[in-house]
Amino acid sequence: MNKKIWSFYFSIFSLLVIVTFSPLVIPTGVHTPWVLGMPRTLWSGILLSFLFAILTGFAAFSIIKKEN
Amino acid sequence: MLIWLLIFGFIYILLLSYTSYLAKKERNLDPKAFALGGGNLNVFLGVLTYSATLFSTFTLMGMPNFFRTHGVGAWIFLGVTDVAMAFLIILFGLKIHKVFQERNYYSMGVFLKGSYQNKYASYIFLFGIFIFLIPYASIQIKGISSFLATSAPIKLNETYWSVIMLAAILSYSSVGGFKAIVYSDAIQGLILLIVVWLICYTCLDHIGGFENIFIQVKEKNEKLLSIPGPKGLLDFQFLLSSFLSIIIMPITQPQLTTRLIAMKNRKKLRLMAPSVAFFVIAVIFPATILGMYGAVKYPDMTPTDFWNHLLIKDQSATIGALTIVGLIAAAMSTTDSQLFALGNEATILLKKDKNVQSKTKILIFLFAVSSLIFSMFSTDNLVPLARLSFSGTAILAPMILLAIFSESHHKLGMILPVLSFISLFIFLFACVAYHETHLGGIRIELILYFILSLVGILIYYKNKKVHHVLN
Repeated sequence: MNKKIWSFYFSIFSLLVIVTFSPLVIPTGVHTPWVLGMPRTLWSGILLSFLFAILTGFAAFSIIKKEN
Repeated sequence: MLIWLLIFGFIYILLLSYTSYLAKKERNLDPKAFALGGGNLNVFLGVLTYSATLFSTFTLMGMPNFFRTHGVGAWIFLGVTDVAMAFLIILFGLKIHKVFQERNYYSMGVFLKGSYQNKYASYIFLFGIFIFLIPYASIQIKGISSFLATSAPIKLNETYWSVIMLAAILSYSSVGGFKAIVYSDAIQGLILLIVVWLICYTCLDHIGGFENIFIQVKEKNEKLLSIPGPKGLLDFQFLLSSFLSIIIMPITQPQLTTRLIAMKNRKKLRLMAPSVAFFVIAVIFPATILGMYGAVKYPDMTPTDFWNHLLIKDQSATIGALTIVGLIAAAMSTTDSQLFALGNEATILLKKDKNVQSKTKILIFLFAVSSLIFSMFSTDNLVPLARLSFSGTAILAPMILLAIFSESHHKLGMILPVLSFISLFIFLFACVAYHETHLGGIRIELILYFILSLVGILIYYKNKKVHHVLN
C-alpha cells in the first residue's frame, strides 16, 4: 500500500471524524437549521455518511490504480 | 397471510437445502479451505455476507426501535459509524489479508499465539469473543422469538420459540460449512434490503410522505430531533465510545475478520469496502424512517407490540409473510456465522488436542445455551445488547492491532494480553454485574481503550527502536 496515498486519505478521514463529533453536527438540544425536511443532526449525519462512503470509494480505487 | 408464509417459507427451505448441498462439497477440503470456504469470495458475495453478518435481525427490529426511543442522534451511532468502519476495512482488511497470507495463518487465535509466542494470548482472545459474542447471539434469539410469539400465526410462547430457533440454528450450523453460510447470508441480506424498503414505502404512505414525518415527530416529542435524545443516552461520550468500538469490529469480531480473509484477492477486498459503505446507508436510512414512524404512531408501545404493528399489522399479508421469513433467515444466518467462527477458532487452536472435536462441540453447545439463557433474561432493547458485544470485543483491539502491525520477529511480550484480560473482567463486572458505566464521569470502556492503546503504542515503538539500533 502506498503510504503517501494512504496518509492523504486517512487525514481526510480524521477530519471527517472530528467534524462528526463537533457541535456542527451534534449540538445538544438543537435541531435547526432544517434541510430537505430533516433536522440538523440527521441531514448533516447523512451527508457525512455519504462523504465517508465516497472517500472509501476514492481510497479503494486510487490504491488499486497505483498498484496497477 | 398463512398461504404467503407457506410459499416464502418453502422457497427459503429450498434455498437452505441447496446451500447445504453446496456445503457438502467443502467437507473434503483441507482445514484452511474449509474455514475460508476456499477463500475465493467475489465482491458481490463479500458485500452481502459481510453486511448480513453485521446487521441481522436488529435491522428491522432493533434499529427502528432505537430511533423511536432515542431519536435522530442514533444516525451518528449507527449510520456514520458503520460507514466509517467500511473505510477502515481497506486499512485493516488489506493488512490482515497480507499478514495472514505471508505468515500462513487463517485464524486470529493462532495468529495471536504465533505473534505473542504464547498460547495464553490466543486463549485470552477466545475467552473475550466467547463472552462478548453471547449478547450479540442472544439478540438474534431474543428478537426473533419475541416477534414470533406475538406475530406468528402459530401461537407459542417466547421460550418455546427461542428453543425452536436455537435448535434450527444448531442443526443447520452442524451441516453447513462457511460457503453455505455465505450463501444464506446473501439470501438474507437481499431479503432484508427489499423488505425494509417495502415497509418504509408503506409507512411513508400511511403518514403522508417524507416531508411530514419530522414535523409530526416535532409535535410529539421535540427531544427526538437532537442529541442526547429524550432519555439522555446519546451524549458525546456514548457516541464516541460506540464509534471506537464499532469501527474496529473488522478485526475484533471473528465472523467479520473471516470474511475479509476469505476474499479472493486484495483487489476484490478493496472494491468490497465502498460497496459495504453504500449498502449500510441503503439499510439504515429506511430503518430511520421506520423509527420515526413509530415515534409518531406508537410512541408508548412496548418494543414487541411496536414490531407487531410496524412489521405485520400495518403491512399487507405478502409483506408481513416475507418479513417473518426474512427475520428468521436473518437470525439463522447471523447466529450461524458466530457459531461457525467461534467453532473454527476453537478447532484450529486445539487441533493438536486428541479430543478437539468433542471439546469444540462442548464449547459451541455452552455458547448456544448461554446465549439462550441470556436472551431469556434480557430486555427487548436489542441495540444496547449489540453495543455491549462491540464494546467488549473492542477491548481486544490494541492486542490484535499490535500483532498485526508489528514485524514477525518483534518480541511483543505478554503485558498487553494480560492487561487485556484484566480489562475484560473489569468491563464485564462493571457493566453486567454492577450496571456501572462511568468511572469519575468518564465511560469505563473509554478509559480501558485509552490505557490499552497507550501500552500497545509504547510496545510498538520500543520494538521499532530496538530493531533500528540492532540494524
